[in-house]
Amino acid sequence: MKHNADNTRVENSRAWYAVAARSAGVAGAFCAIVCALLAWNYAKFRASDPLDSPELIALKAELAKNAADDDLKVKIRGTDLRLRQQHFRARQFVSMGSWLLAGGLGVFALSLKYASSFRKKLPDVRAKREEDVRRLGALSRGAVAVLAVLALGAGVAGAVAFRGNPGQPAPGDTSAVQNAAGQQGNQPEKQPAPAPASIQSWPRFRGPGGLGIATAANVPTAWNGATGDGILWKTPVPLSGQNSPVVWGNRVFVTGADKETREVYCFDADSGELKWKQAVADVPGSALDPPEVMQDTGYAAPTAATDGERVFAIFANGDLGCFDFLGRKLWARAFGNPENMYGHASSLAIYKNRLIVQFDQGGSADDGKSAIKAIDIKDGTVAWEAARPVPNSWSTPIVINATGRDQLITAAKPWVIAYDPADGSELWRAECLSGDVAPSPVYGAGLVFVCQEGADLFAIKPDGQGDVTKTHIAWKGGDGLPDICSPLATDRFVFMVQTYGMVSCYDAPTGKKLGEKDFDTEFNSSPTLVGGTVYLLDKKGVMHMFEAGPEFKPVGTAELGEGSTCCPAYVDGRIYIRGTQNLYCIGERK
Amino acid sequence: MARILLAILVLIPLWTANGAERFPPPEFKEGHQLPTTTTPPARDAVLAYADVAVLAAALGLAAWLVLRRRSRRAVFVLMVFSLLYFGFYRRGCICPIGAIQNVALAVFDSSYAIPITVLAFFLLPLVFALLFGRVFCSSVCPLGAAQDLVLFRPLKVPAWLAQALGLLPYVYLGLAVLLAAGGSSFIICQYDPFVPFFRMSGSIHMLILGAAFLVLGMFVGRAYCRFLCPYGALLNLASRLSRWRVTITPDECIKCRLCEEACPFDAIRKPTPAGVFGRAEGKALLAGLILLLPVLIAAAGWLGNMSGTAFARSNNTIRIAELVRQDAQRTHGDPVNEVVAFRKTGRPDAELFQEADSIRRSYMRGGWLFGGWVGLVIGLKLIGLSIRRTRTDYEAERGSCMACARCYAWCPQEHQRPKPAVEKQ
Amino acid sequence: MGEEQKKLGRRDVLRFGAGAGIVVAGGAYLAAARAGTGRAVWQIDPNKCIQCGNCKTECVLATSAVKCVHAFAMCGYCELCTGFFEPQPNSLNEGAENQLCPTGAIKRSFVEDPYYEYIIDEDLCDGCAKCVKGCSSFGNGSLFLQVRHNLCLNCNQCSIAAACPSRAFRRVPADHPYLLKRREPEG
Repeated sequence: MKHNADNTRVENSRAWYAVAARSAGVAGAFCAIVCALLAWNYAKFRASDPLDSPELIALKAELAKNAADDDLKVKIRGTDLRLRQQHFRARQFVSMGSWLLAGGLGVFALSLKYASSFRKKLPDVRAKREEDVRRLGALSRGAVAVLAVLALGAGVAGAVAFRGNPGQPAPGDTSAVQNAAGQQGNQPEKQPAPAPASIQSWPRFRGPGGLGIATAANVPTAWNGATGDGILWKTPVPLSGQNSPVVWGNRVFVTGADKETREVYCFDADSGELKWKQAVADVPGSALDPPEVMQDTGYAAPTAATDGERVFAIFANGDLGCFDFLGRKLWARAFGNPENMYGHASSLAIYKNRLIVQFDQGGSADDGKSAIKAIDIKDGTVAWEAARPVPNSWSTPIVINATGRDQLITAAKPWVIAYDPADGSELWRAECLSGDVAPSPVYGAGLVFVCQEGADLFAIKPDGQGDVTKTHIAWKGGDGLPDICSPLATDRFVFMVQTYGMVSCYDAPTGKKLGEKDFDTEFNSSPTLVGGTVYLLDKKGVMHMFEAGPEFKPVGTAELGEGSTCCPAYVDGRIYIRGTQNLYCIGERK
Repeated sequence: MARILLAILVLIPLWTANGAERFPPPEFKEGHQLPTTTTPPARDAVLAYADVAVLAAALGLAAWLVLRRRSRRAVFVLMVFSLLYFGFYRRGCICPIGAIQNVALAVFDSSYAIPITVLAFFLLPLVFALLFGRVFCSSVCPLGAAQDLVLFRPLKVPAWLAQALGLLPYVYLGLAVLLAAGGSSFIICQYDPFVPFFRMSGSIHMLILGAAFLVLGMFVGRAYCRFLCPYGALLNLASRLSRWRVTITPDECIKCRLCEEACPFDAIRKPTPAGVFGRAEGKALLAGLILLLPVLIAAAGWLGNMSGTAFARSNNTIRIAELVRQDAQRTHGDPVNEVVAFRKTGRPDAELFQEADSIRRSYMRGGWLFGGWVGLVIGLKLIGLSIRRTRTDYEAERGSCMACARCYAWCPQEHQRPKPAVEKQ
Repeated sequence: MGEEQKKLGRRDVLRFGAGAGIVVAGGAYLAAARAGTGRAVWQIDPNKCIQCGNCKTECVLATSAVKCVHAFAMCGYCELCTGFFEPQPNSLNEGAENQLCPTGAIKRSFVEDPYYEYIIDEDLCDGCAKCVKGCSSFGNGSLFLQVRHNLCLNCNQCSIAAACPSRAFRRVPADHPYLLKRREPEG
């Protein structure tokens, strides 16, 4: 009887074992299949990701070219739907499959455990030898020692492989931006140092200060663009623009643009090589449509500005970009398409660590759209801005120091306004101009000069406060007024250049007209004083040089061989002129 | 249409001051109700306290089941419950193993306030280990449960290899504390092989690693617990000091040798034969190793200091500083995301480099500590392997016994003793 | 034998006492000095986010717990929504060729002329940040990413937080787990 009971027990356990083993087998196979399916599904999940699917990108690019192709649209929608369906189905499969796998693994483990409980080994105590405890101890110590050596060796290898100074600037790093950033971190208001005498610069429209006065020495007085005489190099500029070259050290910057593209170009001053070109594109807030401009003004009328570490450029659509001298984009911002008849043309000015943007727009002063903004050069944020009671204008502001204060002088219709460049508060304003104000203000003989065809030439004393229209206009003159070219003021004289060739000379302190000369050519460029000589470039590219005085004693002429509307840049021994197609460097190799 | 939009763009004053919108939000004519942005709440804070309560209860139950009830089956059931609750329901997070890093961060970073529940998760298993041995490992830790569940064919790891590998949890512990305290990363969480299974998702290489550990776990008992788990290192130390512990037989051992193969984790130590060691030779070795200890600590500490820079590279601030530095050499293309984001903050580079430098220095100091710790562990291990111990009975080694209750069934004394519900296995 | 056992017993108790002392003292110090009662969860600071796309790929979950949310009070309700439409869309309709969102998670509905409402279907959103980038760059920035706490596991170390290039993730109290964008007061 007992024997039978034992047999039954043994048979039962054998049966249970079989059940357990078989269920383990089934569960194991199930898990393997689910695993394989999940793996295959995962591959599909990745392939059908609608984000950045190359198929869709290619189709959309094609649609951009043939906007009216309806079949293509249907195809895109179909592909998109297919991808999304696949993707979400795969996603569902992953979550369902994981649960199935978890369940399968659970059954597998439990049934294996149950099966193994039938297969317990009895310990075999006879066959065991006595362990050699001493040997075991020595062996263990040896193993620990080996592991320790391996670990320490790995440590040495790691330390050597990853040595160095992560996150520290290399000692000899001459990256200009890094240094500037370091400086700015300590002294946020420190003015970028004016170029030391060893570095030649022409950092903005009409030179340092924007007065059109060059302090350069040995500026060439003769060259011939057609023959190449005196021309050091000539390089084509990819996109055209009305803006003038700016120079700092061995770098020359111009910008160019068309309806879609806006670019900044950097040339090597000694070889003329195009070092880099960078587009100002994808600026957050940039207008979606191109601006409407007059053909004569173009899309890149404003001249760039540089502080020796960065170069700033603004374009007709209000996009402002900042790059460092290596061509890396530092920041960009967009002011949107200005409501501007001819197209935005005011060039940039720099005061200490602020970039000054005169953003005048609107058909009438009452539109209230004009503003002058000071942008932080480090990151493009607006440091201050002031609304201006003027319509659109095309003059460029200057920063002067008069009567012991820094003054930011702007000229527009009807107000000539002086601001405190540190915070944008108004110092004084004078109501004098009318018409489409394009000539920029200048400062000489202690007076601010503004002029406009249809208004007058005004000399304003800069020591006023508030509305000085009736009190601080020293004199005004009416002859030979320009509509484009900015005047030139020295200690003694004021020169005005008219578009159709007439140049007049006034006595700066008194306003008496001293003389005039008709050059019988067309001028779009403003005059520059170099030493005692006035350099004036006409539209055909011919440079007229004459002594600064009422007699207009000629010093010489020089031909570029190409038309030009820009204001050249003058540095020691060199002149940089931008023609309609090419950028020229006139001078000797240094 | 685009033209209308252009007109809108031009007519709206484009204020650039912060806060005001480019396109002013509309005032609707017919009183349209704006939908609300939904904010689904996070898990109720009360539930975190409930987790702590469940942990305490499970630990208490485990201690009672292992030491009093002495039932492998009951321990197994509790283990499955822990796997389901702490593993699949709570997705294996927060766990006491990871809590080491939170505690390390709390100690070294005064800006981090460790939640009291996380601290409880760290301390409770330690306290229970101090009192009752590694009952946490036996049936409360979901990672241990997962490995225990898949163990079918335990192979014996050679003793010398097991001793050597036994160093790794201490090294891992030191490394995890170093990197967590420095604010770099929580490597225990990052390289946890089982948590992707609990979450039922994860990156491919983590899933493969986890699968590899599971397959390994079928043949090598609790490989992660024995040779990697950093919390296991702490529990090992605590368990050695414990007040009560697992004894294979609380009665007199009759040295029947049946339990020699009982433990799949090689935690059972045999009684030592008499008169094996000569007195002199053992002493000389021991003395030498004791003298070696400070040398080892100093050397390893110095090596850790040298490696400090290498460890520092894992820190986020240093990574960004390095990328910003490399950006200075970039001649074309766009800067990487980190550099773009950094420039957006407007912080000057020099400030970032200074911060990176001070972090690097703190890593070099931490390297001394980490290296010294590794040296200490190696030295003490060597010493421990040279100390003669006399044992008269079969004992579960205090530090490495995982209190899984498997060995009770092998002891005939256990079966003899009258007690409730003795089950056959 | 008895003596040894007693000695062992005392040594045992001493060791236990020392261990207990360390643990209790350490625990008490940490609890007093460094512990906080609040639980912390992960959240994105939308002002730091640079919309890099890591939120979609770095989450440990198959579908990220980060989703785009909409601050309706800040939205301009533009017909040409730069978060909904591709740059230079073919036409202003919901055709797939015009939409920015790869999963079609944004639903566009007409409210009144010329305003349209944009609502995000969170089941479809996968946190890729394309719409956020479009909205922040050219629009009002009313679309932004947030960690959704009905999905987030609240890992001890958030792998998205570790991979975020702008360090936009931070721990916030669990009872105020969202960092929503709000409309700035005028003036």
